[in-house]
Amino acid sequence: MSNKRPGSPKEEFKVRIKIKDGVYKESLKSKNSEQNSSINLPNHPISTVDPRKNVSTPDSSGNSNEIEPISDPVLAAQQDVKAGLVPRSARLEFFKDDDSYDILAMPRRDPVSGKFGKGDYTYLKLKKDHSSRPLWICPGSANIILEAFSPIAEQAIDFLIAISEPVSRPINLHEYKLTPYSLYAAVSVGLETKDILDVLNRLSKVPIPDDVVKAIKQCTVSYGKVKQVLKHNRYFVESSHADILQRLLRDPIISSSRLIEPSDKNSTSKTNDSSGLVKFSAPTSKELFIAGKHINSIETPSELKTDQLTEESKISNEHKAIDIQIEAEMDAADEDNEDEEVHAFEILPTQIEVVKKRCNELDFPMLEEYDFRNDTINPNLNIDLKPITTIRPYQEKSLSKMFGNGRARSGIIVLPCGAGKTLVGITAACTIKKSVLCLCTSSVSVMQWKQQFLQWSTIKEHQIAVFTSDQKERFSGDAGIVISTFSMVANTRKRSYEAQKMMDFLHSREWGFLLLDEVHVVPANMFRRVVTSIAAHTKLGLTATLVREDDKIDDLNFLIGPKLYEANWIDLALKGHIATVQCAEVWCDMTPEFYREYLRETSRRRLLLYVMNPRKFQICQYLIWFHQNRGDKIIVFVDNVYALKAYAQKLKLPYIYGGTSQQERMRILHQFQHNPMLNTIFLSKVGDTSIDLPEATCLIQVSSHYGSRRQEAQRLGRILRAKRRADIGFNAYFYSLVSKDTLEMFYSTKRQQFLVDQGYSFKVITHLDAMDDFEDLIYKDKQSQIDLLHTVLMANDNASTLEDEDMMREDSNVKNEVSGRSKIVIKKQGATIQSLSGADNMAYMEYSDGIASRSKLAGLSSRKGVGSAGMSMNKPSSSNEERHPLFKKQFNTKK
Amino acid sequence: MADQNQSESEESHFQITILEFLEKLPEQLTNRLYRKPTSCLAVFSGDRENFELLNDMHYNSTEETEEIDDYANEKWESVLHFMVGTSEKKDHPNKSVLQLLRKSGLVTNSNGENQISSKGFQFLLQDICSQIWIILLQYLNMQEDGESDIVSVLGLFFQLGSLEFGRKYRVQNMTDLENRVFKDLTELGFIYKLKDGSHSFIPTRLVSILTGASNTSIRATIAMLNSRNNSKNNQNILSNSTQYSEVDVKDSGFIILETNYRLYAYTDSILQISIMSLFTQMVYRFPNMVVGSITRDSIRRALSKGINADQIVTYLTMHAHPQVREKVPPVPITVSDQIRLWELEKNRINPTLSFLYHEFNRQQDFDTVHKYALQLDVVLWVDEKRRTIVIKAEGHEPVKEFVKRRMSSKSSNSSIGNTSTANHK
Repeated sequence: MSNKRPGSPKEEFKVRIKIKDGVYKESLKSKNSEQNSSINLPNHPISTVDPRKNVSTPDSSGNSNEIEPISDPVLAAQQDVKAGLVPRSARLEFFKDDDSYDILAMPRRDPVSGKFGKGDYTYLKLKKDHSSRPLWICPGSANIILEAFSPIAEQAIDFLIAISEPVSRPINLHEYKLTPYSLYAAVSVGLETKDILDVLNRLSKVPIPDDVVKAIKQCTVSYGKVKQVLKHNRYFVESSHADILQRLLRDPIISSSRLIEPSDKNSTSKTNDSSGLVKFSAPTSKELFIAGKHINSIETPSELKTDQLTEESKISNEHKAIDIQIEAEMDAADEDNEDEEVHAFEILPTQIEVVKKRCNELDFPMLEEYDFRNDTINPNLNIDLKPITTIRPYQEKSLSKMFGNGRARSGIIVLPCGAGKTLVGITAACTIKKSVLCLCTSSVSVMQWKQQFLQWSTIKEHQIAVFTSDQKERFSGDAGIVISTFSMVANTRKRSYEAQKMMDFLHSREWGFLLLDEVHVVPANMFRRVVTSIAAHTKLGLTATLVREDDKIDDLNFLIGPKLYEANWIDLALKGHIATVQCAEVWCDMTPEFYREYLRETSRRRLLLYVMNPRKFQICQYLIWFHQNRGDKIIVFVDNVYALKAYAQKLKLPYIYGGTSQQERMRILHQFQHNPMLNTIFLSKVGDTSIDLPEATCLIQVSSHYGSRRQEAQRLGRILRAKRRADIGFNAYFYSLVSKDTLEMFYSTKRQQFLVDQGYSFKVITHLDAMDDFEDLIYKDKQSQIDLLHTVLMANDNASTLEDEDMMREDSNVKNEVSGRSKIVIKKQGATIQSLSGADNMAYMEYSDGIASRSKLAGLSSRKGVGSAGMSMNKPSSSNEERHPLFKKQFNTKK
Repeated sequence: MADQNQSESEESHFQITILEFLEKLPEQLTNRLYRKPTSCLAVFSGDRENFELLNDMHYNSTEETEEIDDYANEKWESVLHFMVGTSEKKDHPNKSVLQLLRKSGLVTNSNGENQISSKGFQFLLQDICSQIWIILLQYLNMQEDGESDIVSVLGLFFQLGSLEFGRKYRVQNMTDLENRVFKDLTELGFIYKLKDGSHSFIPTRLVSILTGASNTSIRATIAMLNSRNNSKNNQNILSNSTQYSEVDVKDSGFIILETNYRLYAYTDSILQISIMSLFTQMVYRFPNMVVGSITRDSIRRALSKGINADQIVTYLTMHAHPQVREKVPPVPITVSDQIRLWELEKNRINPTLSFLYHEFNRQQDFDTVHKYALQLDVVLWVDEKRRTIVIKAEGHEPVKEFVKRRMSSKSSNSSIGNTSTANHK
């Protein structure tokens, strides 16, 4: 249970109980039996889960987390089951802001103390040799500040990446933050509480503050202790601490799920102790060979190594000692348990989800590990990297986190776009050598993945199957690779016969490896459906940006696994793995006419006005001209389809948006790649992810999706893989055009935050001097500007809504197979199409929920008529699915 | 100051410094000096001797000089602290110093609170030598307002300047004015008065700046002031000289500004922290480092005090940490640009002096005036519905005449307001 809130200084702590009328009542509870409270649930029926964070709970059971004191233990347990997809403590705020810290109690030491509020940590005593140690730790917020110019910074960064979330990583000073998730991730890659505290203390200029120590202990004490292992096709709950297993077995739900074989004569089990636990020897990474990894010298047993080093450190200077020590401990972390035994009990395969949930509730979240080398049931896939394929150091590092103890861990690897995420995925597949299900976001990237598999690995074409709306193949042989999209697999509506058969096939078998591309873009519930319906032993999520505007990122941690590795963008850029980018924000003055209208208009049409600002047109035109002359290949992003067309048509350049047919897309992309005469293309949101254009070296963003940090990063990613990146002095360019004095300015600052924290800097360009000399400037005279203004004002209302085009094509395909009821998926993408056809208005938003859903049904019946022949251009004209973007989120979360 | 050759005689140092000093004096002051050649001579020749060397005893031992240094430093810093608003009430400088700061415009008074002005911030950006000169010049200026005999004040400065640090002197036959100046200088930390009740005193190191006695002594003074700033709280920083970080801090920069607008400053100097907090949102503070964020709000707060963007950038550049000093420029361009842009944001309103005409009784009256004003091309803004018109300043007289004439002919009454309107750029 989570009622031990971290960081509480007192022996008493507050529990928030929601009374029926929604009023919170604070009650004090003494902190008795802290250890047992996690197990003996019925004794502590009060939960302190923050209702705000309760995102995983379906609406129907929305209140289940604010449990009123219930005397019936069974009822309480049931309610917890509903809630429990993630461990309790992970849902908590890491540190309380107020309770633990009484500002008035702190002595006011000098006149400037007041300026820091709670942030005055001068009471922390510096260690004597603090200058050779690279970091500070803030009490309270658990922020860590690192001197990246310290000689041992590199080791420190490796360590910090493992235990904390990077907050900002510019050149000289980095900031990291310890969170329950990050600590969970640290534990799951094998670091133990002691290691974390030791190394942290050694690196820190100040002693680790008590509350941080306490929090680290709290978050790591139960995490990572229990693992769910699939061995010989039997599910085991494994732990090196027998007492924890005993405790879990005392739980009624878990013990009822236990598979008890009266005559356990399995050859792998050595002994059965009194409690009936099975003992195995702990897993090791010996003999494991990550594909493509450079073979290291044989490692000495870690215990010995560490001992030697401690001796050495006394002699050699402090500095070096710290350095080596950290490395040793980082290495050792994985192999610490080498000689130990682990205990396990088996559970029923059918009950696996239940046990998993239960463990989360008991605050012993299970880590998933797959002992793929001992899996004899699932057939091996004959796959390996081609001999010519080499992986880069950071790719190797990320994979070594994944395969640290010889088994495959589930988790997420975060690499910037263009840094070779695909290769990491393929290498992991080559290491596991079992059947792979690979899911990505669009059918374009499905084809790209297939092509990459063929390029880097020895897999044969007949072993790769593609499952999209167009193609429904199966691989030959008993093991193989299936590549599909999230929407295809998550679709719960009725499918065509073929698709259904394919789905049955996917559901029916066990997958050794589930590879999830671009995990951050997938809606959380779609995700959950995929993850729970596919039986996969290992899940690996790949992404460039682990940020979402909707906090759902936390769910990923538990749906897939902890973040295993996160690369530093600037660092990779400096080492030449990704292109160096010059970012600029170009301020475009609003012409007086446009600005006058802007001030008059409602928020919706304002967007169109600031996107269609003639100055923006001119600057866009000038930048294109300028960079074409430099020999750059340019991508222009315009989110708004109306504006996209207007821009592209005015400048006489090709464009791709959700409605562009597949053939057309391919044709344009091909031309862009190979035709020296075509150097610029316009893309809508569909180009944000997965369209791979290594030729592009310059990017101009005309309009964008509000304040989405992720989109900004994704778009930047389009030019990070620039072919010419290795050239000396090569720079890629990223321009963001912003209409001055409009909302765009505000969004723009928000959007850039992620990249700024990664160390990128946006130069503000207020005026392009040379532009006035440019002769062919469009909209040069006032009359044409006013004409443009009239066109914009005449434009349909819907033109101003930002289109949600991601994956539209794929989904329109999925939709074509639909004959049943609507689900969220449709609702989301449907928006685009209707607004393009201009057939709707949004007045329904003001209706009550009931009416809205009724009209939704009506709309669906009209959609039925759309045959499967019509692909993307054939739009259902139902008006009811239309949502204003601002309401969309609200709506989606409701369902 | 005093860039002369060491080999030159003590005398020439002195004279050149005086010349430089005189150049800095406001013109009317020097004019007055030169108009009275006798007193001028008196100043330079030093025929009046106000200070008597008491004995040959030198205060050379560290404990003794340290006490004097402490005193000088404390006094001097209390002035600076007062300016940035971090001094406690009891540590406020005395009245005449306060008056000096206010009169010189280094500090402004808004709503009864003393606030640092743009000039004051500029002052803080200077090195200590210049600061002392500025203060003394301002002091002279203030004396002039007060009808005092500026010549004798100047004379006293020079006499003081010729005194030697660490020696004991006694005051003798001073005029009232000189007594007052002497007291003020004590308050500013130039003079350390012995507490034994006698009229004896010891000049502090600050005095050496007064005359630029020699480069070494000036350097000693600066070092004294700087090191105090940094080491007061943490002696161990200095005692422990190590490879890379804080070592060079004390006589070089300490600020690292990152492209994400985070400011990291390796300092524990209360003065520096409070200067930075003028334009930075402070976040964390460790014994040897502070973390802050430069935000639009924090910069705007500074701008509203009259501190300008260039001053802030100069400060950040001047105090850049050795780690970033190699880079050109040490302050990320994006950040310095942004600070300037934030400043520009404030200057988007162009005031135009103009006059508001409203409450025309009849539409017809309004129309005629409007038409007339249009002819003169002096209409700045007009709202026909509300019968309101704004006339540029240069058109005010003729339009007023025109309205008056009409008013006298018909009994229309239109009131004329006086306003200054704003133009969106």
